[in-house]
Amino acid sequence: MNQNYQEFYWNKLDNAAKMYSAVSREQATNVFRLSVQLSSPVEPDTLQTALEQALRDMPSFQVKLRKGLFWHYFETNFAAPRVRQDYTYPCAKIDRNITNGYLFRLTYFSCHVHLDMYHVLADGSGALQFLKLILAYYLEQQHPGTPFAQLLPDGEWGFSRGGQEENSFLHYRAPQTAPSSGDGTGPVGSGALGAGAEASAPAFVPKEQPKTASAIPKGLQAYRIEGVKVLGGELKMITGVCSAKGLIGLVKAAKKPVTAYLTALLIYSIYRQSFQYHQQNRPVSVCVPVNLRNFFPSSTLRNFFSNVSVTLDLFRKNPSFEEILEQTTDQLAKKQESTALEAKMKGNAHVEQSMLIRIIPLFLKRMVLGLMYRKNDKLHTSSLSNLGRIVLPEEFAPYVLRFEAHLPVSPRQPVKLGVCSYGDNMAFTFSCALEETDIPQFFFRFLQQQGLEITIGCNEPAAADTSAEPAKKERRKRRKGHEVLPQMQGEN
Amino acid sequence: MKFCPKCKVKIENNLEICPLCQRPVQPLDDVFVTEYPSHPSRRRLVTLMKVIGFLAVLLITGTVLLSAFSNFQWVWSLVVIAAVVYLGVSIVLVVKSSKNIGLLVMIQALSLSVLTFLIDHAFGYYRWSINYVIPFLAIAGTLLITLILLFRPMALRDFFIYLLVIALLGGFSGIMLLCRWVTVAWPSVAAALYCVATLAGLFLFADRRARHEMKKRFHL
Repeated sequence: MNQNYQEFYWNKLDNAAKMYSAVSREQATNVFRLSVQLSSPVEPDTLQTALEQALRDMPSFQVKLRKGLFWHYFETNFAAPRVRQDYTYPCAKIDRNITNGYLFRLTYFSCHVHLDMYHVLADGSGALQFLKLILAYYLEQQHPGTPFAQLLPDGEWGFSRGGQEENSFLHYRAPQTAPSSGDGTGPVGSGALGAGAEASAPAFVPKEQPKTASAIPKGLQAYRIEGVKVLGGELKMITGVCSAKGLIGLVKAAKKPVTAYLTALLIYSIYRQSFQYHQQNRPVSVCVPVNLRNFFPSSTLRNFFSNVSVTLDLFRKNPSFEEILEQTTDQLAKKQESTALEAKMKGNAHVEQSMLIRIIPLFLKRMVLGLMYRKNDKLHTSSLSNLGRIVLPEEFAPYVLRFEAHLPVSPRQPVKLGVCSYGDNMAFTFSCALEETDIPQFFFRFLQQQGLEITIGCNEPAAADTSAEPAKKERRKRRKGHEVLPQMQGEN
Repeated sequence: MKFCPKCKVKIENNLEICPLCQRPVQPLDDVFVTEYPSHPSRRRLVTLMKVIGFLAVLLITGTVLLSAFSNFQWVWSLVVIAAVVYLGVSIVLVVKSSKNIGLLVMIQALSLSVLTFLIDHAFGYYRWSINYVIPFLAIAGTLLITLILLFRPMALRDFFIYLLVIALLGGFSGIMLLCRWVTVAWPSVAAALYCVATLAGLFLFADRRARHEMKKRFHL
């Protein structure tokens, strides 16, 4: 695009981005990571060129965030993007002094390319299309002769900038006449667990149907996973990879959708490893973002998702996995009906469009939205985001091995799970802000007991590396005359 | 690869203990994956702010105690408190906005105006702050940003809002003159005129950009 266009281009934030831009901080960064493993070590210069080429094709990522009196907005970023070796924790807050104002961070480490995306700019689906394009240009330079970028399906990125930046929340919300179902953060299922689907169906209807959308989400505070927090700014990542075919076989045997199966397993893990030992009479609630592009004909690169929550009352119920699975499937199916999603979007748009909210100056708005965000955060125990099956043309297959999705934690949801599959590799990534690893442990052991072969990866420093740092400490201790204790080997 | 006999999972990193159960693992082969840096960095800005906050608390309590023991000359301790708060805020803002000169100029112009007014008010209100300091701050700030803009016209979208606010400070000087709060007229007249000239120049010569900035900054 020419200079004039770039200089005068600006855009408003979408519905979800307005929230994220106002509430993000060190403890709740709202930065998610898509990570891809390549077959050979990454060449930084090639990646830099690929990023520049991809930004040319998808200018909606070449923006910076500015403050207005009432809202933030996007504006063209003229600075050069910067590719760096990975230097911080996954999903860490994006330091715009380091990224030259860009709202994403493209880093590499040995064979991996990491794309940390600020949720203000795009959701998982949009970021994935951007990453695919970067990969295509990267491979094109490494293997001249194959036009990788042209092999990507055209519909995924070859549309107008208006289409790329459409605020689909406003486009596809329910018509004004339809009754609003409030903010839709999810009624709490008070029905007895283990009762049949028919019997518990009324539990999905909130008891008091709010007439108008409320700015403060309503609902019961969810069970909170407690434990020893990791050091500030750090995050523990545990990835388990299994065969996608094996998992699909397992899910097919249970005759349930994949997301429902995994959500149920996450709830069951939380129940078995945490809930049953803490007598908190609070429902276990897992938030599952749904990609609305599957329901509405949108191809926007900006945010277009909706949070659906699965809420189960497990207090003194001693449920089996099958019972949880049954309930989870039921709730997910109910809440994923397009009328429910439309109504929810309408509720959210209603809040955003009310003049009362709009005329509050930005700094006050941040406080109001922060209150809403914290309130909403308390409604969920954890989150599970399933990016689904990532498809690339088969020419990519020899060079691209594996995708991973990493979610950021928030104060009330210290353990979250990101899932995606590519080829036959299905990757489950737990982001833990707690030192305890009980929940991932149960999750992976369960899958292992079902006959799947699991490979674990994590961001603990490797054995060879740990020797370098403590050596310094040991020297210091010796100088002080302390006896050096042998390093403790775990809890046993 | 390593293998955890307890969890029965393979581990692709070169670890001594299983990341799931913290028990020792067995070696399988020598092929390992490194996906993350071994010593990642964490942000430390909070620490700087804490140090500044701590020093500010020390200074303020020390001043209050001293004034309590010297016939309760509260005025002096108030001045010190104002100055300490101003210094602390300035340091944090300089660190935070090191890449945005416009923001820095605006904050300094505004906070210095407030600080000098407070000091003036505390010591008999001879009006030197509103007579001289505030008008000259407005002129200096506007001049500084105008000079930057002359050399870097593209930076208008970065500096527009700050130029506007500092120019309004000049306008405020003019209003104080009209309300007869100001006793020495010429600095306020100069500041008001200079700011009107700057705004007129901005909206006449850079009309499209200026209007565009207004639209962006104030969109509802």
